[in-house]
Amino acid sequence: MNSAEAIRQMIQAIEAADIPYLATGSLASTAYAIPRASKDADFVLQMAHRHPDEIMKHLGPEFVLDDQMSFESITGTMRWIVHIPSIDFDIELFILSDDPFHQERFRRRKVIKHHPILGCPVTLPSAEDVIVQKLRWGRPKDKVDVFDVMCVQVGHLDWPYIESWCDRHGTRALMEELKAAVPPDL
Amino acid sequence: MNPDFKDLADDIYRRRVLRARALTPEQRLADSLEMTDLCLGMARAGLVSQHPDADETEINRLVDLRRHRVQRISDHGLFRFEPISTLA
Repeated sequence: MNSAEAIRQMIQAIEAADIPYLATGSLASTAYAIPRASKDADFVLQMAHRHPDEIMKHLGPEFVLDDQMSFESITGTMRWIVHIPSIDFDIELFILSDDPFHQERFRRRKVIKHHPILGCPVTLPSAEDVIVQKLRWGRPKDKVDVFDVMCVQVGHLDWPYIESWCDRHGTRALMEELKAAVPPDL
Repeated sequence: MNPDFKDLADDIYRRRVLRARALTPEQRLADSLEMTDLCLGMARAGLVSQHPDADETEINRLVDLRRHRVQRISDHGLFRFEPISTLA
């Protein structure tokens, strides 16, 4: 198994459980920016009040559910972590919250129908939603990812949409700082 | 950054951006997955090199330790944990 195979099996398990999903994190940011390695893959699942076993029962023993769940401090979004020890890779499963931005990002998701490596469709957020979410988390690696998306997607971003969410989240200054650093000749 | 290297660094970044722009989203994602597998393999190979007498079980333990450390750094201040057994 490799990371692509693990992600493909997870997508198939999520679909077998009939759960609408969205691939986020580095999977989403690299689709719009500069490809980079990651230690994990992230998914958002529309499955409130359901147990992760509904997904795990469709996966083999290589997939191990962590016995702790975690909550993101900004919106309280619940997260489970699935380890794949044989390849030292993790898959993080976030439960879609009632947060207005999370709902809008999920509504705007797009499907890549034929992925050459995954061998199955994959559902991603828009480039604008990648920027808004990563600005909200604001970790060093998130800022790098935001800057990369801004540089690669020059001329293709809906700035009024990004600005409206940044104003609501209090991340407008950080967004403007990163946007101003984009080289003018790129 | 040392100002002597700024032009070089800017040029390298510019080339990376232009290369990424020339790819489709599918190709960018494929590249990242290949890099991920390469880096995961290199991380394990690095631990084997640092601990030449360690058996497979010990290497797996060291990989787990490193993975948890990276996770704690990444999650610091952003996530709080609870046992999954509390899930209804």
